[in-house]
Amino acid sequence: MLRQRLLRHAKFALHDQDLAEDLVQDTLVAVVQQHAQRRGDASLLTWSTAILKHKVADWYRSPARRRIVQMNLEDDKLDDAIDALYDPHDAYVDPIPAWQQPDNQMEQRQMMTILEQCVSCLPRQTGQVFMMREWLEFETVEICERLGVSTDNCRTILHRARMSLRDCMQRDWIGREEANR
Amino acid sequence: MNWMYSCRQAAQLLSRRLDERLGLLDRMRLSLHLSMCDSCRHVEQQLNGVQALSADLFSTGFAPDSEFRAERKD
Repeated sequence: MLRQRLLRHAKFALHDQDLAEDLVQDTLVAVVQQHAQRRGDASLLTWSTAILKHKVADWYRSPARRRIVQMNLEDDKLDDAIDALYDPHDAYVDPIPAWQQPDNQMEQRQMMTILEQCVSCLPRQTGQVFMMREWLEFETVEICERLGVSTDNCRTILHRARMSLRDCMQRDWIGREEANR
Repeated sequence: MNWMYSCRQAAQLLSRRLDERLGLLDRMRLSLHLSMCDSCRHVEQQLNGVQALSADLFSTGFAPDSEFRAERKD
């Protein structure tokens, strides 16, 4: 169960089945070895995910990374969805409403589940860059360097990722709330 | 060049601001736009919110469910 979850997480961040399996294996070994040092306040999953994070970040920073095919910027589908938000003067066609904050734990969890689905639906490379930034906490400069893309491309990919997540959350989270009323 | 930012430009800067420090001129132009535009203020809150929520999601074990759905179908 733990292995399966870590594997799904790693596969999304790396898009390479064999590599993901290797790094999850290393992670599980480290989890067993360092079990005694584990702090009581983090769940096993959270703690294992933190170890996996270091393994994946190290991999991105390692020379072995060079043999992997470089990015090609294929994720254009998101552009159309973002373009549709704006009129010819680049103002929003429909005003963007404020979001109601989740007011209890159950709603908070539902919101998280919907975000998880939205992230899963991101095109492959966009999702990968988004995870390098928001999970591995790489600076944009470092992401560009590691993936061999320009700073502008990197900014564009992150902007697309965030705007399409915003859009997806608005549709599936806010939209659902309104349907329930 | 128009001194005023469009909503599209504002959104690009709102995203960039999550990754790097903006220059003084960009900060001024962005805050001027935000002071006059409800939609962009909402987008600002939502992009910040998506970032915070994503950090939580990734640190507590993100399990993309495309495979999960396929597994459950069988």
